[in-house]
Amino acid sequence: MSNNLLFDFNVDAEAKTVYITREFNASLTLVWDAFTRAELLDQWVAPAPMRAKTRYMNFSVGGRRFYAMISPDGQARWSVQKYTSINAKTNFKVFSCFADEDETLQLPGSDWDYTFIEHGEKTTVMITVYNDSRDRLQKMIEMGFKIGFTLTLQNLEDLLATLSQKI
Amino acid sequence: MAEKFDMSRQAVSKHIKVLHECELIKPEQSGREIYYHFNAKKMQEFDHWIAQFRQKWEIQFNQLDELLSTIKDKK
Repeated sequence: MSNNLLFDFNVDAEAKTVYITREFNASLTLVWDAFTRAELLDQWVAPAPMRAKTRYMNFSVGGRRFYAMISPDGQARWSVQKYTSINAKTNFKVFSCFADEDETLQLPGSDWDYTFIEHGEKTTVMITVYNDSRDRLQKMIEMGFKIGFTLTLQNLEDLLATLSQKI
Repeated sequence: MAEKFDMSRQAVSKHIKVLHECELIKPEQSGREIYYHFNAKKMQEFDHWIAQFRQKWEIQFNQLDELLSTIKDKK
């Protein structure tokens, strides 16, 4: 994985905020689409071997995306994202919350802010995740931990090998 | 220490208590004084824990890299 793309990840427990910055080797239009169109989101947001499935998505202020992360044994973890602000190809904000399969929210949720900046042939995406509840931040980190942990080293190696072949 | 961080002795003592509870510092009794030492091993554990979370993002973003390059190739 010698793609040399900037990746910065910081957790500020005191501010209950996670900061993520990542550079992508693609135009702003393409990266924006990858974050805002269901058919593209479903192709990358679930860390393998999980997969994502969007039931519906209405990318507009006040609109929502209702989707699931599905584990290899078929268990679905549903979430709802409500779009609270959109500035095309610049920034969007979303309130994200776990839900059950009937779309009933399991509060509290977290606030996500995505900012996109194009420079040359690359695009940088800055993400901040604010959790009002420290327990929620903890839960989010733990879920990430579990997913990371579930991936066996072999799975990861396979994925990396496939990726490097394709590049 | 209180002077150095511009806070009250009580506040410092509270921070020390939390750090001790998290095992990030280890106390060592010396007569009537307690010396606290930084526990690097625990910090490493914490770092490792956070790294798992980071890894999730790393995998996601690598998948996105692949998708972006596939889309670009199609054009």
